[in-house]
Amino acid sequence: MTAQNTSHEAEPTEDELLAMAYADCELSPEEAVRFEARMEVEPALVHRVAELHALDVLARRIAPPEPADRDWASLQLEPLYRGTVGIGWFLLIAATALSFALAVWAVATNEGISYLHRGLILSSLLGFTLLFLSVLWRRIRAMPLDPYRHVER
Amino acid sequence: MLIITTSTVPGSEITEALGLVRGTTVRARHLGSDIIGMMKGIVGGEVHEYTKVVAEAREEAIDRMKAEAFALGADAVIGFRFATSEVAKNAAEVVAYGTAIKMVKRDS
Repeated sequence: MTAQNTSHEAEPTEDELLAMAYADCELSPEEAVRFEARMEVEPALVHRVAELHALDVLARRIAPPEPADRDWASLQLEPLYRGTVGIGWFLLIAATALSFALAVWAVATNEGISYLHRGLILSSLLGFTLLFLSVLWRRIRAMPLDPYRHVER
Repeated sequence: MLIITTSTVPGSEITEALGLVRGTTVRARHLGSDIIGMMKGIVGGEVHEYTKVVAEAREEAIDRMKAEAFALGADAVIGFRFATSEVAKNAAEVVAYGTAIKMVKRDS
């Protein structure tokens, strides 16, 4: 396995971490009061917090707005989209299943292929089908136990 | 449980390093996702089907790492990182790892 995203950036100092937590309103009320008391006598901390606030404002300005979940959901619910997707999947699955069945039938009834070869081909297809169905069955049974299938982003 | 990317916890003192904790998962996307993903590759935009499988793997890896940290009696995981790789063409592998620690709140 090859790691692709290991970071080697310098670690921030304790004061920088406190300033970041303060700027993000992540300190407890007691910690915030202590930090503010330090800011009154340490101008460097005031300067650092001001920089972080400015950075936050800048980030909000340049970050593209993320559409709300309901906007994504409304796109999925459009009748034209749902109709074309539904019909598309039905045709694809039905035609694939039918093609598979016809291929099996063609092999099974082909007099040009010996019984041995027909048996081997059909056994392979049957084995593959059984394995697939067992995996599918297990997935269906495991889905209610999978807490991550609702994670979207 | 606190999980942070830095090697210290503001306002707290690390009393014990319990060692490496990690969580790994490999999650596959189904054939339907690949078909839709391939079509979105033609027209552009976010391939939500792939975003979803990576997000699922990320959350599962974090939870497994947290379970390992809980088992060690840790208060937090510091130096948290993700690593990814590809073990199969239609799957997302995510490794979440960090150092489990015990800590106490600093008085001043």
